[in-house]
Amino acid sequence: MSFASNTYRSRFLVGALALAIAALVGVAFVFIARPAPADEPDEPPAPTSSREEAARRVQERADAAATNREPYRAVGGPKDPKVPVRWNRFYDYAEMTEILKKLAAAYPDIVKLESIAKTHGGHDLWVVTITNHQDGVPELHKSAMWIDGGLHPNETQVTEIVLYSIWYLAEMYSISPEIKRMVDERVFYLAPMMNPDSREAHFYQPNNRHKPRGGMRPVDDDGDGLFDEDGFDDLDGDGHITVMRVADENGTHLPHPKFPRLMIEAKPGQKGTYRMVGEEGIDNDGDGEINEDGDGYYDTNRLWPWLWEPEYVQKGGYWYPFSVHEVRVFGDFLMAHPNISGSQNYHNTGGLIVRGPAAAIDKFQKADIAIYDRLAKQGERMLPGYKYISQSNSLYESYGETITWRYQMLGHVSLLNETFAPFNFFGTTDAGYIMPRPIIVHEFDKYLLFDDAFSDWQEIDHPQFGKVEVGGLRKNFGRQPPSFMMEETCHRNMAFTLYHADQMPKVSVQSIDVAQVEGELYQVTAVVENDRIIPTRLAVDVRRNISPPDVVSIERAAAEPAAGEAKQDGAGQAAESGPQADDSFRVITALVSDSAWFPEPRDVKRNPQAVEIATLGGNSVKYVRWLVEGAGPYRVSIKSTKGGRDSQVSE
Amino acid sequence: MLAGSMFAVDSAAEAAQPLEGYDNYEAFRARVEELNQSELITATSLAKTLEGRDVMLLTVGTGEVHQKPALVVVGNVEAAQLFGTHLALGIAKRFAQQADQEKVHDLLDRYTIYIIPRPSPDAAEKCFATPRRRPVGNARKTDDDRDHQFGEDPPEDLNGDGAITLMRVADETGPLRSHPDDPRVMFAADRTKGESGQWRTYVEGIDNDKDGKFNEDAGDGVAFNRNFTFRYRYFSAGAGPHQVSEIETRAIADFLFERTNVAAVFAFTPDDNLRHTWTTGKNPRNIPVHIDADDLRYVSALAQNYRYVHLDRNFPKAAAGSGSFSEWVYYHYGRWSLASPGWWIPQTDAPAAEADATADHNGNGNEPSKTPSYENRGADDINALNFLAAHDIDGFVDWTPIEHPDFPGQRVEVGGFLPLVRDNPPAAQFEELAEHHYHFLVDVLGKMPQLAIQEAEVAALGGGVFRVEATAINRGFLPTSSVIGYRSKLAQRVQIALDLPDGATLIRGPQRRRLPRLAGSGGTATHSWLFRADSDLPAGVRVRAWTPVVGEDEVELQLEEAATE
Repeated sequence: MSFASNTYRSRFLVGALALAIAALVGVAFVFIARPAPADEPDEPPAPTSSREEAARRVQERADAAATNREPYRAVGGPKDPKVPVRWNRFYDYAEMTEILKKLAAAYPDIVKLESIAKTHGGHDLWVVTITNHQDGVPELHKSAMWIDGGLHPNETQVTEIVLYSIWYLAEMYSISPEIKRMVDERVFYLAPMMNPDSREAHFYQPNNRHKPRGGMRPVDDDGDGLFDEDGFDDLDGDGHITVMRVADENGTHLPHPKFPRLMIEAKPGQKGTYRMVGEEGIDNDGDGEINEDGDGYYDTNRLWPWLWEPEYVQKGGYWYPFSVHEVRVFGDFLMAHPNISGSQNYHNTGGLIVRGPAAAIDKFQKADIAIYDRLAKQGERMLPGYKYISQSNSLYESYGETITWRYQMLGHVSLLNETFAPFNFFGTTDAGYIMPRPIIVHEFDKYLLFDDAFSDWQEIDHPQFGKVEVGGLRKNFGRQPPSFMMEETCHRNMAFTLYHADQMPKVSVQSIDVAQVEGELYQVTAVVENDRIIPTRLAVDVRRNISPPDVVSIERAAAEPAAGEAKQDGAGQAAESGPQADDSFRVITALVSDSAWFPEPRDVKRNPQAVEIATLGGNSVKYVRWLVEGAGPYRVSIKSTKGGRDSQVSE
Repeated sequence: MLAGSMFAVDSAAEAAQPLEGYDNYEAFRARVEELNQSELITATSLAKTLEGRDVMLLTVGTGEVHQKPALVVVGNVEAAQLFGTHLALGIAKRFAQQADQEKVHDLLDRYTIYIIPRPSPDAAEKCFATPRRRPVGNARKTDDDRDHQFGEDPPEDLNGDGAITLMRVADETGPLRSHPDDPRVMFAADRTKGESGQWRTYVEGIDNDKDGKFNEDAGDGVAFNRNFTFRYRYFSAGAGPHQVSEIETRAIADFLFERTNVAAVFAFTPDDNLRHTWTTGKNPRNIPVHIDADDLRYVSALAQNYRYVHLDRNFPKAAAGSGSFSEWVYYHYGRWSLASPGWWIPQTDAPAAEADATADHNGNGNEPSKTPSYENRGADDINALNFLAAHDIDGFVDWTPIEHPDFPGQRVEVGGFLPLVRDNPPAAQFEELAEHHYHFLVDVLGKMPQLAIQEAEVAALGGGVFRVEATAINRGFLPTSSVIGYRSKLAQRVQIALDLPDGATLIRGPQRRRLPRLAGSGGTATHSWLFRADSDLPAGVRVRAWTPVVGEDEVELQLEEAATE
């Protein structure tokens, strides 16, 4: 049929055909755009609108979350630790021991628990060793950090700080790659409770926040032939040794108008209403003095060898360094682990990061002080309100204390943190220096602790003074953080110590370059590096030869390295096994320089196969060049008592 | 060389062997056991050393020995001065033997004597080692040159004479020259007088570790007399890793601290303070490093008596100790410290001048100069040689050339004084020396403080109220303690107390009071009490004064008499 025969009929026909095609297309379209039925999941239907598209994506994500639930953690800590521990409280010896045992059982590959001695009172002195115990590297080949708390047993929170550190390293090892790296690279020795006998006494016997400061062995403090015959007396039976006052219309003190439990001195011309009698106690032994011979007294932080002085010069010095068993065993441990290249000693109170020297006549090497300064500056930032000081400059002098001994005689950077600062109360700098001002303490107690820190004044019958009132600050506050600030105190202090630990020296063989000189004569140049802030040997160590020099050695490598021998980090295995008896390999001489161009190198005359290096400074390298007879490959190893070990094979 | 003899014997006359008659550990223990048989002496062990020997203590006394004020005698403080053991034993023997004599009996009634004849037996035993050497310290393996190796370069007996002496290398740049009168002796050349050197010396031996230093590390152990806390020298050879690090030191320090009854310590030690007393001076930082002026007056008096006993004056002033025992006794133990080596080589003239044709002292055929040079330097050595000759002791090894592997082509000679001969007298002198020291110590005991209640009165004030007043007096020569002893409270202070009867109430006290230091020969202190007696009047009250370092006294006062006045 021709289209031209009848125009109207042909146009109608074309129009009808077009409509039919359109209808067909429309129908086909509807079929294609229809959402896929539920039993056809592999064909996601094309979105018809943006709202539907969004709904579809939401559903996808919800389905994914239902099957793959990552814990929603508050950052910087575990959400569901294997050993759950509450960090807003204190732990006594038995409770702490239980936590330690649980952690050692839960993480046997990284946590080892050891009792290094029993105390006078029969408690264990626990030391925890944290490192990757499964990596085949001997403990002494890794640089170690020693962390201790409780040297002064009344300084309560330090045990929790160290306990928290143990818990945190263990629990975060599998969560935080950074923590894993630190634990793998180093060894941590942690002693959370150095004086358990005295901690028990502080907790459960009447004491104040300052006592016991040393041990519990009986000592005749007043030289009268009797031992511990006149200690504290808890006259009001509340377990806290506070102070006594007597109502007196001619008195020197009166209650503060806003905080009535705070006694303040009457101003000149003003009449007080009370007379302060002294510390809660009576004269038990009839010698006219009150509480002059209680528990101990020897100060466990005055019994260390460096510049030790006897009791009449330095209170608490007792007989001679290490004359008390509990101090001696820790001293022995420190001396027996020369791989310790940093230590942290925790105390309260004041908000201080302290370095030695502790005596005015003593001095530290300038180059070493610069290292301390760098570390402590970062500490001031991480611990707001804490100040970095040198003890003899800014605090009282002391003799025979531990962090100066560690620096002067063990040769490592040793820091002391006086934890909990007056700044911590209200975030202000006017709260006092080291000790908080009493009015700050009272204000804090009223508004943030709801009167929990003070024993109310109570009348008792005193055998000597008659009717007196007993009351005052309880023993569990004034030096310690309150419950709600405990975990932050623990974490910030731990973090600073871990920063210090991370900056302990770490040696590596950075590169080995081999050049053939002529025939069998080769020149082997190795670059050794310490990529942390602290040198392998501090200036004091070099001066006194406390640890041996670092040794960089060369030997011919085995033809085929054994499986795992190519491992680079800390494996001093080949160095230990010694060079093979190999007549065709001979080290002729060695040169050492700080510069790659060897401008004025040191010529090693003795034993060039094992070159001694006095120290590898912080963030620095040294170049060692050997002339050897015999082709490679060569193994170059570096061995540092405090900086660890490394070994590489040349190509 | 005779097989059993340690030293080459040159002259025809039989020469006395050094260390003959001296006790090694076994012989010492046998002697101690003998003394232990006496009723007055008890031998006990204070500790076992690294090599399993005992640090022995002899307690001499009667009755409650630990409740009486005591004198301590220590011998052999310096390991090389072995004779101190024998003098200490001799003193113990004399106290036991003369206990029946009235004076000694009375002393033993009132005082105890603790004797430690050999405080570091492992070190003392090294005197008998072969080859013979002057010992330093105990059995601890030490790194004496701080190179992180232990005992890697000990001396060697190069000439096979069984002893370690010196070796000298001919060297015009060396510091020493031979003495013109006696080529055995050398002294420092004075280059400002145009003298050149002739020798440099080393301890006999080779450089085992090829570090250029000779025999610098024999792993000599820790010296007892350098291990105490006063003026301790850190990082020095023989001082130990830190103060009181050694078993021996700790055992003796602990014993002494626990014995609060010790009043004074006498030691045979090079840290003499009797021939030449310590001097006073300023104490920086308020830490005592000089003897107190008041204490010095008393020690000087005792020292004068000591010098009277030993007339010879040829004793040089002792150098200041470091970590020494006797200084520790005074400064850190707070007790009277008396110290003397006990014996030294006296001034001895040269033997009768005879040209001795057989003597060829420097081994190269030259005859010794016949005209004396009046050279003063080296006088000590010359004197020592005179002494050895006078006592027929073969104590010097003549310089003899050897081939030395570390000095190829150079002239090296081995020789010098045998070890220990200058430190120790011939054993024949033990008795005389022990006798002298025994008498000196008896005299010291006679000069100890004597505490008494000089006056005690009770007055009835009426209404059942009484006042008691009592005065304590020290009638002995020495004060009740040294100044440091008092200040440190290490010497327990004199206390006075009123024993209140039942039913009495103290009005004014305190009931027990610590008194100030009482000066010697009449120092006093008074205390008074007020008390009220109930209706039942007690018969009496008692006043007591005491301190373990001096003694005690008490007085009973009758109240009834007072009440009826």
